[in-house]
Amino acid sequence: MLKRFWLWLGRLVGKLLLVLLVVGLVGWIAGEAYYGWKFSGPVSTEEVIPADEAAQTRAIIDDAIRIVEQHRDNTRVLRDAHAKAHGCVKAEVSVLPGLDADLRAGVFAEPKTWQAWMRLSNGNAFPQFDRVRDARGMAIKLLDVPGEKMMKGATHLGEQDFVMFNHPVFFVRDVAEYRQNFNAQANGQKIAAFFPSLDPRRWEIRHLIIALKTLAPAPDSPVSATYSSISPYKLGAANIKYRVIPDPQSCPPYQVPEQNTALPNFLRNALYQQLSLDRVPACFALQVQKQNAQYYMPIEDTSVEWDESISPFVTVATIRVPAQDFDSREQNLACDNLSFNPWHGLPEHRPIGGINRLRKSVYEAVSAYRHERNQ
Amino acid sequence: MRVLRRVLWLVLLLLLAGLAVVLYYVANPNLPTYQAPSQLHYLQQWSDQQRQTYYYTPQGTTVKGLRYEWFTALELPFSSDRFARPEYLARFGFLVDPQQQATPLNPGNLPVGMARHEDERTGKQYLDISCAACHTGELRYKGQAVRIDGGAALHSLASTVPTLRGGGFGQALGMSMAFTYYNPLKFNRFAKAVLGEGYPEGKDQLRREFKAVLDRLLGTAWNDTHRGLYPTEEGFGRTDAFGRIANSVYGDVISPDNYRIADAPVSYPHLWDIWKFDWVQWNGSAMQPMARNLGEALGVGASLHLFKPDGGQVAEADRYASSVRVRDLYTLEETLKHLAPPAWPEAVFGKIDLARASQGRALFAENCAYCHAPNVVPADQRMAPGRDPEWHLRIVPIEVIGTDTTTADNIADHRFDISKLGWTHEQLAKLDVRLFGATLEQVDFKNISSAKGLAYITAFVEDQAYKRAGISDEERGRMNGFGLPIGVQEKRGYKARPLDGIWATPPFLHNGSVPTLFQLLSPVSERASQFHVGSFEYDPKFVGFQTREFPGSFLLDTRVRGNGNSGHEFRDGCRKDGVIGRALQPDERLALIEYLKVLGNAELEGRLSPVEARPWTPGPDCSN
Repeated sequence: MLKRFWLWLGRLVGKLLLVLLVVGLVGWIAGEAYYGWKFSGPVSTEEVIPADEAAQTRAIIDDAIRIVEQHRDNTRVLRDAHAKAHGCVKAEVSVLPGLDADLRAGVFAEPKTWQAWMRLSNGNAFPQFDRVRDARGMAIKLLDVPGEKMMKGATHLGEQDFVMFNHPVFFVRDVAEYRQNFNAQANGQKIAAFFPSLDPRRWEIRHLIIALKTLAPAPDSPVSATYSSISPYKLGAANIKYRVIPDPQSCPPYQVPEQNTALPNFLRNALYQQLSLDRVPACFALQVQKQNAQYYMPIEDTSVEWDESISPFVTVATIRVPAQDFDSREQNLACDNLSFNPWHGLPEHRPIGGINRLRKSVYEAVSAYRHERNQ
Repeated sequence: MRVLRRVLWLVLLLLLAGLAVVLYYVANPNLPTYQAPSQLHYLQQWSDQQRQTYYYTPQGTTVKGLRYEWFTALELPFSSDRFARPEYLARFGFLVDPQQQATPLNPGNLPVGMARHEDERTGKQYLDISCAACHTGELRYKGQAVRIDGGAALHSLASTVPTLRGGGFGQALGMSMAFTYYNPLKFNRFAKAVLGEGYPEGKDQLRREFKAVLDRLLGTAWNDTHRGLYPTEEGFGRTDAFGRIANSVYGDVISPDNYRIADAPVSYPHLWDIWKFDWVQWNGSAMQPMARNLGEALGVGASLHLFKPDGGQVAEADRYASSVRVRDLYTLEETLKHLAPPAWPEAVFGKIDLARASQGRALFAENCAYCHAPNVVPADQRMAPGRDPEWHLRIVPIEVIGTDTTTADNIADHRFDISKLGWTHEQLAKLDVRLFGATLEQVDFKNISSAKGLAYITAFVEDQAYKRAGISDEERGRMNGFGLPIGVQEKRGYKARPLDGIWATPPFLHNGSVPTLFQLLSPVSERASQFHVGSFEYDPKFVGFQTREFPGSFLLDTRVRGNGNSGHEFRDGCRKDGVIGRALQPDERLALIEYLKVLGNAELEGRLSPVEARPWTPGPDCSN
C-alpha cells in the first residue's frame, strides 16, 4: 500500500519536473525569440518624449522627498540613492591624444589632464553592511572645466559630472515604469514594483532579473569593479554610453589584501588600505560606446544593453587615483555635501533619454532639499 | 604475545619516524638562504680601523668554554663542509662581508662580533661573542647591502631552547659538536685540523675537553627546556637580555632556585650616542658604562667563579674571578664614543624629499620632541662632570607609554636569593655602588631585585678584574667611564631615546613588535598582529624590514606574552593607556618618517625649509 503510494508520488514529481523543464525551455526559447524580434532593427537617433512625462516627474520628486525623509538619520538627510560613500578621492582624468575626430568633443576635445573628485558608494537608500547584495556607484566630477554649462547656477559652474553604477543596464526602461516601480518601493511594496497588477502583460520579469543581477555581492574593493553610465548621452554629434573599467596595467601591481567581509565598512577599509596605507594608486580607463542606430540601440530604454560586438567601447581617457589620504572628518563631510548630476556639465555631454531627463529634475530637487535641511 | 610484538614494532617504527624527522631538520635546519649582496656599503660612521677594532676585539665571553680553533674546525652534521664558513653562519643572520678575508684580528674569517681571546694564564683561545655581534645591523635593498655599525642585529644567536625545525645558532652548534663527537671519522678529521702536529697524541685529551664543552652546551639546552625558562620564542633579532643575564648569574652560578621565567625578548638597542646618556638599558636601570658592559658579558657567557665544584666558597683572593677583559671592554667603549649615527644613503635607498621632510620636522616638533628630543644639561647638572655633552633622557612610565609591560615587569618584580654569597651590608657599603630611590639597609639578600643584585655582583667582579689586570685605582675611574659609580634605579618604564638614525634600526619598540615606522605611527588597529622576521630586505618607504613569509622566516605573533604591539599610539580619543598623541593622517606619518630619515644628519637638516609647527595639544584626558 505504502509502496504503491511512494511510487505514485515519485512518478508524479518526475512528471512535474519534466513538464516544468519543458515549459521553462519553451518559455526561454519564446522569450529569446520575442526579444530577438522586439530588440532588432533600426532605432531613432533622437529623443522621443512621451506626453505625460512632466506629470510623472513631479510625482517621482514627491516620492523621492518621501524616501529621503523615511531614511533620514537624526542629524542629516541622506541621499535618496547611494547614501553610503566608501570615500571621496582625488583623481586625475587624462584625455588620450589621437582620438577619432567624432569623439573629440567637450572635455575630451584635446589631450589634457583634468583634476577630479571621485565618489565611490553603495546603491542603497540608507547605509547598510557592505556584504549585503547591492549596486555600487561611481561618480566623477571634473573640476575647473571652462565653458557655458547646461544648468545655470553659480555652484556648479566649473564642473563636468559622470555618474555610473556597476551594472550595464538599468532595471526600468523609462519614466513611466520608473514612476510605478519607485512608488511601489517607496511604499515598501517590493513585489508590486515588478508585478503591478494581476495582468501578466504588465509583469516585468525581465526587469526583475536585471534588478536581481544588479544587487550583486560586493567586489573586493570599490576600485576593482566596472561602472557603466546605463543611460545614453551626447558626445558632440554622436550618441554614446560610457563606462569606467579598471586598468591595472597602468598602475603598479597590487592585490588588495583580503578584507574581513563581516565588517560593515570593509569596502572603505580596502580603499583606505590601498590608497592611504599601502600608498598604491588605482588606475581606470574611461571608455565610450557609440550608438549604431541601424541596430537596436535605443535611447529611450535603459534596460537594453548596446551590443558590444557591434559597437565596441573605445578608451578616451585614463583615470588615475593617486595614493592619498581621504578618510578625514573634513573630507568625508565635504564628500557628503557634493552633488553629482549628469546635467552638471557642458552641452556637448548632454544627457539624453527619459531616465536622464528625469534625473535633471529629481537630482536637483533632492539635492536642494538635502542641502537646505542639512545646513 | 603476537599483539605485544606488533605493538612493540609499532612503537619502534614511530620512534624511527620521529628520529628521521629530527635528523632531517638537523641536516636541513629551517634557515633562510644566504645571498651575497652585489655591493656592501659602509656608512661613514667611523674609520676602517675603528670598525675592525669594534668587530673583533674580544670582551671575555667563552660560550661554555668553546675554543676558537674548535669552532673554526667544526663540520656540519652530515657533510664535511665547515660549520664556521662565513656564508653558512650568515644564514643565522650573522653579518659577513663578501670580500672579507682572514686577518690577524680575525684569523678564522668569522662574522662580525665573533672574536678570539686568549686566557693569559692557560694560553687557551676561546670563541668570544663580543658586543658587535648583537649591536651591528645591516639593511638590504635591490641587491645592495648597507652596514649599520652599532645598529641592531637580526640573528638568532640567543636561543638555547631547541625547536623541532632547528633555526637557532646554539642548536646548530650543539648538533655539529654532537655529530663530531659521536662520529669517529668526523672526530678524527676534526682532531687533525685542531691538533696539527700534535695529532694523534693529544686526541684523547681533546676528546675529553671537547665532551666537557658539549655537555655544558647540551646541559644548558636541557635545563632551559625542562624548566621552561624561555616560553616566548625569540626568533631573529631578539633576546630576553635581562632575563638571560639574571638566569646565568643567579641561576647557573648561585642556585637553581633562582631560575626565573624570561618571557620578554627585546630588540638589540643601537649604540651611537649612548655614552652621552645619563641612564642606559631599555628601562634606564644602569649608569656606569663598565658595569653595564660586564653585566652584558656575563649574560653572553663570560665565566664567573664563585663556588668550588663541591659548593664550597672560593678563597677570598680568587672569588669573583671571571673571564671578562676590562682593558678590551674599555677599548670597545672608547671606540663607541666615536661612532656617528648612520646617515641615510640616498644613493642606495633613494633621495630624500626635502619639502616633505620639512613638514615632517614641524610634525616632529608637535608630536615627538617632548619625549624624544635630547635634553642637554648644563655642566653643573651633569651626573658626570667630565661628560660633554650629557643627555638626560625621559623614562616614560609603562602606564603612559602602554607598550608591552613584560620586560619592565619582570625586571621590577623578579627577586633572587643570594644569601649563599654571604654578603654583609658593611661589606657592600664599601663598594662603588649608588642606589637611587632606595637605601642599602633595605636590601634583603634573600629577596634581592635583579638590578640591585647585579650591581653588587658586577662591583665585585669589576674589582677582581681590575686587580687581576693590574690596573691602578686612578685608572679605574677613567676606565669605568667618567668616574661614575655603579648607579641603580628601578623604574617601571621605558627610556625615550633620541631618534637620530632610528630609520636604521627596525623592527621597532623595545620588543621589536612593530615592523615599520609607519605602523609605529599608526593606531594599533592598523598595526600587523602577525608578521615574519628574518629578512634583511629594507622598505625605504615605510621604513622597516619586509615582513612577507619566506623559507626560514620566523612568525612573530604579537598576541604571545612579551610580544605585545600595543602602546606608543597616535589616535584620537582619550590620551591614556598608551595613546600618546593625536591621530596622524597617513600622509603626515610619511612626512614624519621623511624627517626621521634626516634627523641628526646636519648636512641634510640644513637644507630643510622652515615650516611652522602646530602647537602640541593634550587631547581629551578622560582621567576623571
